[in-house]
Amino acid sequence: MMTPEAPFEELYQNAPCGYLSVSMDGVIIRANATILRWLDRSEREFVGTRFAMLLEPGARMFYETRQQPMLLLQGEVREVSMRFQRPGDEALPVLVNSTVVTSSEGEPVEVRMAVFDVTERHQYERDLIDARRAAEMAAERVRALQDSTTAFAAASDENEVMEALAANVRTAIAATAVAVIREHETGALEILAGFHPLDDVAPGTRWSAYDTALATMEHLAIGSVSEADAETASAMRAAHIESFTVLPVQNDQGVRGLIVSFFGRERELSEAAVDLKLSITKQAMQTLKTMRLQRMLEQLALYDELTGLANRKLLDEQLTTAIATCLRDATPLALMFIDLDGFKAVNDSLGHRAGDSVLREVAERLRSVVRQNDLVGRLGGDEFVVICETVDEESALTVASRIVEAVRAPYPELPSSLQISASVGVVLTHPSALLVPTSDELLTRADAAMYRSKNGGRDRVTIELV
Amino acid sequence: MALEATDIRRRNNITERGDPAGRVLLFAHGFGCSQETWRLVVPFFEADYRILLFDHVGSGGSDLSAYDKGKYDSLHGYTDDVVEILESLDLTDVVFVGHSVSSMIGVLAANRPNSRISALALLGPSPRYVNTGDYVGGFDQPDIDNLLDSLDANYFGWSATMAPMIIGNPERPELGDELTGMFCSTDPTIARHFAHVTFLSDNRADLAAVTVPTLVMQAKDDIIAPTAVGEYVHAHVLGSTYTEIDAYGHCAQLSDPSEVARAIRAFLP
Repeated sequence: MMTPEAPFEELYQNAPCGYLSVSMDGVIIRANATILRWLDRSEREFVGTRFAMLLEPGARMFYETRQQPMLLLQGEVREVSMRFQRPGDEALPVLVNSTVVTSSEGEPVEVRMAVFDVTERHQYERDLIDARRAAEMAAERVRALQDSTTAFAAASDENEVMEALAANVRTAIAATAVAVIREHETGALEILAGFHPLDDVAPGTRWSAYDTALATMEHLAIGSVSEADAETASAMRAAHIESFTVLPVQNDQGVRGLIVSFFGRERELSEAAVDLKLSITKQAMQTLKTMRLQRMLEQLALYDELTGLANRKLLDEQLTTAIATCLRDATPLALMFIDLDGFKAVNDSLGHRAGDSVLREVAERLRSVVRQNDLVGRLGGDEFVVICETVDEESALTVASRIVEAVRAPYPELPSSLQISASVGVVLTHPSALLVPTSDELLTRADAAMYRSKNGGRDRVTIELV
Repeated sequence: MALEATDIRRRNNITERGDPAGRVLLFAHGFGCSQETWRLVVPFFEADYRILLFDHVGSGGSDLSAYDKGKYDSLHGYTDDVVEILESLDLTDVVFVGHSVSSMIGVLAANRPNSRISALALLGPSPRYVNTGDYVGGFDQPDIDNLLDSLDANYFGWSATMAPMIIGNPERPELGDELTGMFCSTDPTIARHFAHVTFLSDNRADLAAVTVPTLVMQAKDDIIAPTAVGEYVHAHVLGSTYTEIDAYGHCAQLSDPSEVARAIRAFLP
């Protein structure tokens, strides 16, 4: 017959969960039969061993760094997931509740643990964890790409794109610093954006890893100080950098660059991280390409396609600005109207192609004889205009006569029977003029002055003061 | 731009105790918890030391919004913060008391030029947790992955399990709910990153550069920083003092606070 205590002993020994008592030093002092059965140990070999040594290494690290401080501070920790090592068998996944038992004086005496076998739900949890990690990684990637898209869209010039590139790569791969470097045609390397810790301690150095990366055009990792050459290693030590990676890139114009990521510890980038870095860089290059195209379109809208001179739209804008300046600063302004003499004959006898070539040549000559800040434009056909700001009568006449001389000079591609010259009309505003004409009026009067040059025998300058 | 002292106090949840006129003891916690781990040791020094405690950014009651993944991807980022704390509060002749990973943060901070740290007291220091060549750190790379699994497995019940449980703590009446409310709670993503940085760093080369008086405290049977590792640190920090603590496990400051306090007192002049 059972003694009254027996059912309790029986309840303890064969409870549906494991019971352990552990000393404050972490040594097992008591264990019930259930846990001995799970771990296939005898009580003799079990009691006296250190609890932490039952655990898998990772669980042991968690136990020592996380669960123990919690337990000692709180007196109780519940539902900690651990894994017991089993020699020759798979680890046993368990959940553990721990409580510190204190003496009547409040001194901690031992830790009691209840251990639950969670093999059944473990695989399911494992799957959940794996799924969650995969989802987190995918979400991080999407977030990184979205952030960089937003940053690139907000950038207003190439510098801002480069800075956004450095900042977004840094965040995406958790790098200590990222530098964006461009290779010039001369082969020189320039840091465009971000921060370059090695350059900070040894400015202007050309790091050998960069040449290696540019030679192979492949992602290069300097995984530790010992992998670097002496010069690089010494800068790495001074800058607290323990590894870095170099990603060489090239745009569709053939311009090459380097995205360099610096780390304060020895790190290997996963394939996914390298891929993410590359994706963000490609976004940046696409943004730059779009910016270049936009600039080209703006050029097209303001410049004459044949000669590259300012077109009528740009001339109008500049003339309006020049008139305003002239009024504000009381500085004289000259507008020159130039019409070619003998151009129609070129077109008629040699065709439009030859005519176009003469127009391009004239444009080149005009550009070379005006002052640095003068604007040369083509109104259409064989009509050109020059805007000269802050000019007096003498220098306006000098520019105009240089134009006449330059246009008159022979054109190698034309037969000697065909000669080109220029009839020039100049209007010069008086600095003290109270009323400055509008741009239309100025153009009309310069045109009229030009006609006087034409009617006066061509190849000459007529100046009118207003 | 340099941060103001008040910003840094908030960022690192700095708390002060003890005698404002005393020598400064700066306590730094290890991976997995917060400044709370020092609370049983602090009373031993309150009478004659100025005590500063702080949380690393990402831990305890620190400002989580200051967690910049790039900065805290290495111990150098944490070291920058320690240097900022010392400078912004204008602390000099500082004794840095570091547990676990903070031991190496203290070593790095003490090695910075014009450091304000004049002594290091290191509990369970390890310059390298992963076995490398002849060096025995105690763990292999798969163990670190295993730890990350363990962190993730415990993330399910994280908020419930690790919820604040210090209620009406008579020992720390001056601490508001704000601090105790943040006790040891950790963002799982940050915990994972901090685990990477802690357990994959290699600071063996930094030990030889230490010039300040250094105490290496080694508890018996510490599986995170085994005795061989403590002896390695002692051998490589020239002139260091090695004290075996009569305590078991990695958190001797909680399991045997008086032993830890005694060792620090014996080390300090």
